[in-house]
Amino acid sequence: MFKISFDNNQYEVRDLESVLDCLLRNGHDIPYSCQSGVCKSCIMQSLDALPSHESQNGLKPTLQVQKYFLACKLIPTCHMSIKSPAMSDISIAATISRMTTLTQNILSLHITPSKDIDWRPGQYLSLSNDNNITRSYSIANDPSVDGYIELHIKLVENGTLSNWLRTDNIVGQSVNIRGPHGDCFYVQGAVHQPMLLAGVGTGLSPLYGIANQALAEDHKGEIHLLHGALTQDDLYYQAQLIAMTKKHSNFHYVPCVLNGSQSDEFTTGDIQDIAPSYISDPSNTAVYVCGSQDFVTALKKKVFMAGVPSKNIFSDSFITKKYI
Amino acid sequence: MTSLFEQIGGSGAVDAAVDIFYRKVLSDNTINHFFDLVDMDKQIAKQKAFLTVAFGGPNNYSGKDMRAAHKHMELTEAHFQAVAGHLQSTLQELNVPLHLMNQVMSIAASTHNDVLNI
Repeated sequence: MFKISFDNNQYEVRDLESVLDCLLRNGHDIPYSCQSGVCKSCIMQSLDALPSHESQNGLKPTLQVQKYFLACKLIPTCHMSIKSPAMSDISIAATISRMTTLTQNILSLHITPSKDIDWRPGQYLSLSNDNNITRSYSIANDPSVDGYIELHIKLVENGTLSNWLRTDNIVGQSVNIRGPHGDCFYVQGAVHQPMLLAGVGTGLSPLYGIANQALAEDHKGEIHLLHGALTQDDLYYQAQLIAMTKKHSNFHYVPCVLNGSQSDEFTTGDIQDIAPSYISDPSNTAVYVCGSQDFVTALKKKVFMAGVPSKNIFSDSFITKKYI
Repeated sequence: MTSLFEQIGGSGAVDAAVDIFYRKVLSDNTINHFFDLVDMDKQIAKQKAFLTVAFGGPNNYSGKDMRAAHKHMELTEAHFQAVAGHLQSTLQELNVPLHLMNQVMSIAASTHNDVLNI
């Protein structure tokens, strides 16, 4: 039985258990999200043993030589001493510059980084507060144009970061950000290609950023943005989206409400059933899907089976944490 | 003398084939349940790796990997033949010449015992 030394404690690792699972099981709030070596939220540092090749895959060489590794991908094969990463090694300092309420449980946050970044709308980042609580959020705007990053955050009841955001004087607080991550962003080069963007909940946010970038780059193809919400109260950014439809004749906003009576303001029904009807030329359409994992997996498959090439399908699934 | 992989069209052929092949697999009710919970991006990547090997290309899968990957699914002869059939009809749809098709199907057949863990 191998042991991990962390934070002045020793923990026995179970058979085939990753470092991440072992530490979470023992009550440590280690940042994580995708649990598959992609988002890099769970980066940690070994003080002795050399981490496996698999657990260092995708990390910059400078981090690899310092024995940084991804905790979700490392299954210990010997005793190890590990520590949390030094923020200065892996992240950029930033300040919360603005906070506004979008719905009963969705906030918009503006983060101003300490240096220029060229991260794209639709990509995501890991945000850590001063207590090292880390969560991943999608970029809803173009930071290189605005000079700040806009994030839309769904507040979770009793969520650790959510509770922190509910405290006073959040504006002005310093945070650390890591990124950019993800392949869900506007790809230049196919200016006449029809685009279908479909999101549920805060999945709207990366899509909003992507749609705006497409229009800023003079995209000519028809752009349909569908937002699926449980009730009408869960829709947000409606004014902004309607304004976009007035300004750009090729942009169309389709709010879809699951539980609602008929209305002129939105379509009633399941976005999974409604979305495919907006694809008229499957082999030439780019599809962007964002939101909960179940929604994303199902809709990607649906549009693929309808004839959209796999290389034209971009997505980002929001994974809910096991331990809040 | 060009290799099978070069003759068939290399990675371009793999790209053309993977969507056609995976759609056939997902439409087949005798095997599509194996892919229900799998993320499409990951699965497409795996299908590409498989097709690359089947087309005589660089082999990143060992027999051991094939065996380990499929062991827990308890696959049957029928499952194997279903997938092989979809590979064949994909090649037919792409108008791959018969002699190249036969070579590809032969490579696919060679994975039989590893995939079925026998």
